[in-house]
Amino acid sequence: MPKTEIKEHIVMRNRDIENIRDLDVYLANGGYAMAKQALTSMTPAAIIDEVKKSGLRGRGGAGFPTGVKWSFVPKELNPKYLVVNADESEPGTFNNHEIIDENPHQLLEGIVISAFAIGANVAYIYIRGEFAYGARFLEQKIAEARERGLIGKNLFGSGYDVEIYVHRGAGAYICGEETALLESLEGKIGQPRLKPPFPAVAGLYAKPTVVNNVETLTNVPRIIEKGADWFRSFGTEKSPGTKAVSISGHVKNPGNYEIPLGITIREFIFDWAGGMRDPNLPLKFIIPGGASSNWLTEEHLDLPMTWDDMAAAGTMLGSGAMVVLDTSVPVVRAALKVDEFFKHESCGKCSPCREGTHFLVKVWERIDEGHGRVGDIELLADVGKQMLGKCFCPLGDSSVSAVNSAIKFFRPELDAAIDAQH
Amino acid sequence: MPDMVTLTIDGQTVSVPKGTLVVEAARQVENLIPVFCYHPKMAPVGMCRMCVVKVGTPKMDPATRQPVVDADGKSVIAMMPRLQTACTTPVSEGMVVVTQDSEVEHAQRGVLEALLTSHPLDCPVCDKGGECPLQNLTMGWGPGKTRFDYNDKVHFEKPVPLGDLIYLDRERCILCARCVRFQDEIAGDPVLGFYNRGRAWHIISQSDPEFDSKFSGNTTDICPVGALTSADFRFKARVWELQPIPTVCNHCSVGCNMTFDTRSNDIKRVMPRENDAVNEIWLCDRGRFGHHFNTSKQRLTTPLVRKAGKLQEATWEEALSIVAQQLDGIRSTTGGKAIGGLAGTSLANEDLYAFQRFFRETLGSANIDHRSGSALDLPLDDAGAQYGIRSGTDLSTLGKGTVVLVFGADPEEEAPVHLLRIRGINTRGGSVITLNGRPTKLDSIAKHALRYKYGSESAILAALLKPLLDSTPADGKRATLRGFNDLVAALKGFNLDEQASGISADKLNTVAELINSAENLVIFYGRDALTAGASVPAGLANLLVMTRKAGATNSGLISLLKGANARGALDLGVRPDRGPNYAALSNAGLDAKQMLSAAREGKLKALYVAGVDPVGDNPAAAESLKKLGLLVVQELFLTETAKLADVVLPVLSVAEREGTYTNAERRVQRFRQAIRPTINARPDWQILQALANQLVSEAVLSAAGGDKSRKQTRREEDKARVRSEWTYASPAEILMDIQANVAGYKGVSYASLQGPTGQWGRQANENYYFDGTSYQNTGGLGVQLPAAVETSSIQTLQPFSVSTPASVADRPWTLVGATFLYDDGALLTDTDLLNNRKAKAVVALNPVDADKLGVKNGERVTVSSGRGSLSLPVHRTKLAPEGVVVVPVGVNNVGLVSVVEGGATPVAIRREA
Amino acid sequence: MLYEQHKAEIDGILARYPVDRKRSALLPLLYLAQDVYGRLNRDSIREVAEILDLPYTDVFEVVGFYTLFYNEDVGKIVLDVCDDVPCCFCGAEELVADLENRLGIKAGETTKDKVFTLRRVKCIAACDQAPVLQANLEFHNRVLPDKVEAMLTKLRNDVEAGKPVSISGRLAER
Repeated sequence: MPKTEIKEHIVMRNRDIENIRDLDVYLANGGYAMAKQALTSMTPAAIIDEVKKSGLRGRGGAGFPTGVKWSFVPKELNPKYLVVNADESEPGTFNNHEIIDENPHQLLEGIVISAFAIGANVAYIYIRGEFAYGARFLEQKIAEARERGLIGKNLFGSGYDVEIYVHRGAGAYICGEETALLESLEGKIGQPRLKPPFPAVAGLYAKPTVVNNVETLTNVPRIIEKGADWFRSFGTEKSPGTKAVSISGHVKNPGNYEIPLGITIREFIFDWAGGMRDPNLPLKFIIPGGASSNWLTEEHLDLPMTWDDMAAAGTMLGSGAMVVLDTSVPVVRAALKVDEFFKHESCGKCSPCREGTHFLVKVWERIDEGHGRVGDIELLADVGKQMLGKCFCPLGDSSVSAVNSAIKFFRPELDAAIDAQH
Repeated sequence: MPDMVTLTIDGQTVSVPKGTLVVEAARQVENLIPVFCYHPKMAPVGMCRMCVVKVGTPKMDPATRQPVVDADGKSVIAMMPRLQTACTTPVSEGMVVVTQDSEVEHAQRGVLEALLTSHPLDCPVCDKGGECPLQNLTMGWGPGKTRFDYNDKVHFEKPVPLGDLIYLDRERCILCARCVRFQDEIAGDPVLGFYNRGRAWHIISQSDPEFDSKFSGNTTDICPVGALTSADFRFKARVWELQPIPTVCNHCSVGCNMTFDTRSNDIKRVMPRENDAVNEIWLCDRGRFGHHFNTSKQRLTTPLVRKAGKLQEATWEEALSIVAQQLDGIRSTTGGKAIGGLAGTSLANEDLYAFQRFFRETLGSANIDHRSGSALDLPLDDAGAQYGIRSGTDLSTLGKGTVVLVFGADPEEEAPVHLLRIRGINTRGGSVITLNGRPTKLDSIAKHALRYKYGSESAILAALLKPLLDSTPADGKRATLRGFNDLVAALKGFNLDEQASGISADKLNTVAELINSAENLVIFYGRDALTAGASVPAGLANLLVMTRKAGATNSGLISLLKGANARGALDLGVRPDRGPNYAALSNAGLDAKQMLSAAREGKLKALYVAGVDPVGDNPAAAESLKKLGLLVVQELFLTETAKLADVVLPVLSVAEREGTYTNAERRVQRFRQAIRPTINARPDWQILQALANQLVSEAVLSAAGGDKSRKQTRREEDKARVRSEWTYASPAEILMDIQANVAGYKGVSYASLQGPTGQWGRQANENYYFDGTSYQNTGGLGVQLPAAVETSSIQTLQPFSVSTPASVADRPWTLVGATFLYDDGALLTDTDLLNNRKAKAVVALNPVDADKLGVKNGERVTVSSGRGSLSLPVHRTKLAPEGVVVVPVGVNNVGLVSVVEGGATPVAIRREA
Repeated sequence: MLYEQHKAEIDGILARYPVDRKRSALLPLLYLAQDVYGRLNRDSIREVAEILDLPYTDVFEVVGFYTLFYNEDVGKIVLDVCDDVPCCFCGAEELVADLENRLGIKAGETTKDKVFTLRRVKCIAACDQAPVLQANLEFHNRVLPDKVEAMLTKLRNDVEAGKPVSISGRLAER
């Protein structure tokens, strides 16, 4: 089957136009025209409507329809805030990284339009602390745009103000969870909040707040420009558009790819990313949607990459992060590393996650070190069961994915790892 | 009735108010859902996950918005896919909750196993052992055996001190955040936090000093494990060996219900007793840790009589007969007017009543006061009783619709638990207004935090009253207000001098509107207000009247008087101008100040002092006392006054006897004997009774010298006055007498104080894991007395006038004496734990002012008024507003008493070379 | 005197947030203080707390929570090697071992000359560039064995030449 061609990039337009990160280049290619159009000749309702029609779904992982999320914001409560989630921290994900570094103005234009749509005058870009350059770079880009009257007061003579500020996190995966992100933005430790209330009603500073992912907002100017139908010409009925997907691990060409939603995993790995790195080491398993997702194996290669198809297969598209691992990888080590990540990032707020991730790591560790005990697999499964669905936020649940996946697909290897020790 | 919601919990139907959490609904039907982080006094957080349950709700048809019913007409229940935390899930109509099944039990077992993976299980050496929710819940819900390796447990240095009062054992901590949330939400002292994250997360305090809060002890009660323990109780006893004796705190006017937990006739610790109407389940650290005076080695152990210029041990018979004979001698020669009596505010109602009887009846003297005669004495406060908070008011239920005005008071220092209660009203949606001359902690939550300039208090009140007056319709309403025209006259032509008062008229209009629109109006006032002139309490009372809140439900004044039983002393007539129940007297006696002058002039021959220390409060008083023919001191300790006495009579402490106190909200509450006295002391009332009886006995009368016929006349007079021999067998009998003779105390008896016991919210069978180790109240909730205004049909406005303080050109600063919780008072004797927290003998000066004067921290200044001067080191702090210097009251070596003139005092300040 | 010396920058940071929400400026101010003082010790944390009118404890809490705030001494250059999935299967372990060997320290330690601190960190969103590290939060991609020595030499030379460093990453280049 030939590789599906993509007519043009929607979010990674830097792949089509050289130096689009420069404001002049961006402007020469129609940049900020949509912001002007939106603020001067569209109503917020019309923008929300168009985004709803486009079927744009949140690119941060959950895939919630963006227009619907916007419409939850109560009109009568002010001020409102738009918060951009640029805390890209899910192991395997690095596509926002590229958008920020290479196509920043499209993101900023998306922020201006979206802020106007929801009635916010201030937007904060919460960027992970490790993107120190990205944060500085975005600040420069904002300053440039502000100088030209593209961000700031009375934009395009509309009387509408949009200020955009960059706020750097400081190293905490949990801050990708939207309420933890808001806590962190308020200068506190990044621990998730109890919901309800949801951020749409009481978010940043207890004011109505929309939290959107970088990629989501970067789509918005193009939807306004070319319309919902054009957007829907990409992807599938329920997962329209494209998705910037990061692929890493043992593939020939790791990197970011903007794919039309709906292509199969097989096509993505083998046609887009060049297939396995070492012809002698075949595919062992795939972590398809970041470390949180349940693993897939060769039998799932024909699964279409959409939110719904992935969910039906018991995993998720997530933030678009595929880690492909070959047969050189011991399953125990992989699971240990994944759970070490969650243990490291567990915020400490709830007991099942705080203690459970540690418990899992300790058992994986002893198996990895050659001290596994009979019954350890059942122990992992049971501890996982006690965590799954019992934690405060999804982080704890995420740590169970590796446990369940390893047991589901590689039980003999796990048993062998323990048996070898007795 | 609020909207009720009906749901089913494990098949049992229960109806609860809308908004109730599942965990609370279950508790009402004694279904105990285990919790660690949840606490009924704090917002739910859902952290520990112990309370997970299955929850289902009626399935709704999206088209009709009606519940879907099955073939039997029953609602189809849609169970939620995940277990829910019962502590964060509000009830809804038709909800089905399952708290006990294999899935729930599996999850709860998992949580307990998880918590125990970090817990050292050192119960045998843990102070919490025996009353530990983690122990209990592990027995009830936990796995019998852990699958976790012991060696993988968290390790921390074993207990580290968090300040002087609390120890933290981070290994035991299960990170429920109850303590952190208590400090943030309830105490408003955000001094606890968490460091690191994940499994390395642990409690820290980085305040200066560590754990800088007056409420830190409460965290040891609500800690569900032994992570926070008190330095006071550490390794003192196993909790199951303790006998909790109900008592009432005697450190301030709140009257917190608590227990002395005793073992082997020793007080091992103090714990709160739940009384929602007084202290809920909280205590301040002074109340909790300040019990050591009871068992102090410095206590007086036997009567002392001055012989050859020295106080020497004596028998009770000897000491009492000396006192009786000498008093009788003076009474016979010069009459009662040459005898004065001071009885302090930590005496019980029974003692105070006996004291004023002894003076008025036995000695025929009206010279009675409960103050010490120093310049720092507070004026007699009647407004707090006349316009006091309406009986039946429970501050813990007030919230939305309630306005709390705090005027010239610092509840944190003067009556700490009231701070918590005011914060609680704010949390529940009420509004707080602070009107003070200096910053207080409540300002941070106040809707309006206004700072007046000292001296302008009455003008501020005038500005609040004026719009209320103007808006009162000219119809019949005015006629029902006695004193209306006088108030109109007093405010005629009044205009607020915004410059002089520091607050704009607009702002005060806004406040007046807020007060006027309040459903309930509670007004707290304290030392600053009480010392600012009679028009201040009067003006506050008038605010109540003008807003139709005088005597109204949930409204009234709360006067933060000094001492546990100042209200009792006022109610029972331990004052020169009024008898019990504020009865007017035809001839007023001398007040404390007048007594001291009379002594100096040789007019007062004898002074009988019980629980007051005039010399301690003002060393200059010694000169007066030395002129007396007889000085009798009835005391716990050898005070500065006692050192000058002719006879010293040792008394029993609050822990060694029975009695009652009347708190600031006029609630009469009973304390009980917790320990057996090991010293030769007696309760105050018993001493007074013995003397009263000796003084009417023939033996004494005949032994008295003087002119025979005159003596005869006096005997007749005495007999007429004295009803009979005193035969009180116990304080309970005195209280019977009080309730029969003092109208306000009608119906108050030891029996009525006893009940009702227990309160909603308590588990009958599991009283502490839910909200801490505080005790269920089995000792009675007390009886709240009605305020005078409740029973009167006519509303009376109090005489009010606006005074403008004359500025003194060469004394441009204002000196304010401030009450601090931790002072050098005798009740903190031997509570060394609190020494570092005691107010220092310093002058608090705003940094801007300090710069003006060119003084650094620790450098000395001289502060001089028209009366005298003091010299102290400077403490630069924003807690002193510009132009104001604050000096602590009740702290040794301050010299404040020789400088102040009433309240705020104009002073000059000079930097010392 | 952080505020006095960096008034313009601090005021600029504060201006991003509503006046009554200046606590939001905590993370940026901690980054600044960390750069100025070389780490976040007790005094520098308290100084930040005072600028923002926050209880000390609240600020300590934040310092303890985030991995990019250093409450212990670190070198002039903090090397953060990602050892997460997939990097650990793409040369990260080898890179850590190589660095440990060349610097003579273990991960988590600082060289004696206080130039380098080596840390293992979790995913830094450059998985396609494995093995990857950040030096003072500046990305160094595909740090294969033949590139390690040159990288270290350049970093050390920069420090010795007095080139400004920012352990908070405030000077990070692409």
